[in-house]
Amino acid sequence: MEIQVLSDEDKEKLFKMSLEAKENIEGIIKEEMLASTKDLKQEEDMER
Amino acid sequence: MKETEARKVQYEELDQKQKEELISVIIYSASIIPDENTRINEFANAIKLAKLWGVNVEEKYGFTEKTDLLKINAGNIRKKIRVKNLMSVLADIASNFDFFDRQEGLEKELNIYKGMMQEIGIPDERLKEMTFSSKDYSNQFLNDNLRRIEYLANTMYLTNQIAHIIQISQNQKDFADAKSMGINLYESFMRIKANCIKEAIKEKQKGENVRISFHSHTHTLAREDADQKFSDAIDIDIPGYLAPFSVHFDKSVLSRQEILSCSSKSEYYIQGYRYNFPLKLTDEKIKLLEELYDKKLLNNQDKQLGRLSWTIQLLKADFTKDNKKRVITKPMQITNRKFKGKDLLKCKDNRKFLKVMQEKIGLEFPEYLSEGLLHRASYSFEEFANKIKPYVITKLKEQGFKSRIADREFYKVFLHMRMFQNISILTRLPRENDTLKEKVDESIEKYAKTYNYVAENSEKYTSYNELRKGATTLQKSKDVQEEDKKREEIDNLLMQLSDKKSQITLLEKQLQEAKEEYSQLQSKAIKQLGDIQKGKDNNLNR
Repeated sequence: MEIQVLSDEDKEKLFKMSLEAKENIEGIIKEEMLASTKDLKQEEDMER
Repeated sequence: MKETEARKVQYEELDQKQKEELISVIIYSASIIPDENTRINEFANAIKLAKLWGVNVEEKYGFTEKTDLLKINAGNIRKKIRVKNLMSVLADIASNFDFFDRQEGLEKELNIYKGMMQEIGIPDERLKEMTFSSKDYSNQFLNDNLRRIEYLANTMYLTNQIAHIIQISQNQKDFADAKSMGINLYESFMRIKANCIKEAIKEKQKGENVRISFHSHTHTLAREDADQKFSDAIDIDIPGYLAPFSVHFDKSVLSRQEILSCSSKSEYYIQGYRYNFPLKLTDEKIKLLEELYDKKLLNNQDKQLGRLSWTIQLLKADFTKDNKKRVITKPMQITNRKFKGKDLLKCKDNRKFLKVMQEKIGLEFPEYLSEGLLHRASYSFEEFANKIKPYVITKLKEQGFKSRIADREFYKVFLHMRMFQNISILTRLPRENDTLKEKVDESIEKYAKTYNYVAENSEKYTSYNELRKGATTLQKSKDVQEEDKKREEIDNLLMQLSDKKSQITLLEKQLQEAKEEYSQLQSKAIKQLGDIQKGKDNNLNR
């Protein structure tokens, strides 16, 4: 099903804009995930 | 459609891109959750759902076996993700429902105006503009140049609509997948909605041209898809839009200051106008509506026309001055004048210490909280922390905390001490001093409650003293807490009373109008009866 209110041009624009927005959000999440990655070796050293 | 019927929605399964958008939205929403354990659990569930939907989570989100969800800085996620991007992905998700094709109320309203425009001789060519079209959608949802308040209001509105669709389509495969992974999608969207409301109020407090007001939500509670726990609604009126952005919500998510900075009565609601889609008006639509208003509708009492009058007045409104007056003063900022020499250096270091503290405990402090903690601290946080840290860590480990966790908990203990102990005196005591140890022991006993209160409520306040006062109630006796609760109930009752008064005024106005209409009809009927009687008499006389 496609929304009738949108022209083909707008559908393409919505696709591009949301894709770019999605990638922006994912980039931020990735940055924070990577920052929280454990350094297991360092942790073991700390425990010792 | 009857008000009591739940909306029937046509729905198509999300494509892979939209599934990934939904995951991003879930993770963003999780970052708003104040409770650490619930938040981490939600992050983990989002990752599980992403895996179920075939997303390469390492490539996409940098998630690996080594990722420590405990260490994720939720504040950074909240802060860095722009509302404009959220609106784009939500508009794309919403495009999978027939939501934008089902704006019957809006179409009806535009048609009424169109009919009136025909009556005043506006040519048909120009009237083509008076429909909800691709151009309107583009103007509202594919527009790069909206103000932040517009992005916030649109995002608030979209999350609300999608949440309702999810609520009545829970058995659809995509939503069932999320549920099976322990994700409550409805709550995820509601959380973003509440956050948008708080951010919109902040924009208003900064002097943005917007009016925000409240009203009761009882008129839609009879609907099957209405969430019974919400009895409040909020209207966000932005010049250039046809109607208010109106959504139901739980007023208790707002602080008293936030509530007070808005209007307690929505004019639109008091007038009894029907709520429609808050359409962003194109320049052409504005011209046509202004023309109609100027030529025909001034001083007319018809409800449709009253609603148009509301839109036209809003177009010209300037709330900025009023909004600036309502700005709530922040706690005093630390200035160079206050601290000199060594003390000034300590203050700068204390700011750094607070940054480390926020990173360690994974909670971003609102500005007022940071400023409140720094206020009048002419000693070094770090020096004091170093003095008590070994003792606190030992005690926490005795309670079963592992090193890394104990390190994080230490900062929470420090937060409690800064809020409730006189550190300026304690900092002068030697490390082995009994009084110091006693105060630390007391803090270790109480810190968790303080921290949880701050984590859950810091966004609700705008003043450090208010937050501190709120946290203090945790230590109050039951009697005092009961008294506070009663006071709060009285406040709520007074607010409800004020709402009811507005409703009575509205009903009285409607009653008066009905009486006048009745009396006019009665006179007309008597006159017509008289005319008929006269006709009969004339016939008889003939």
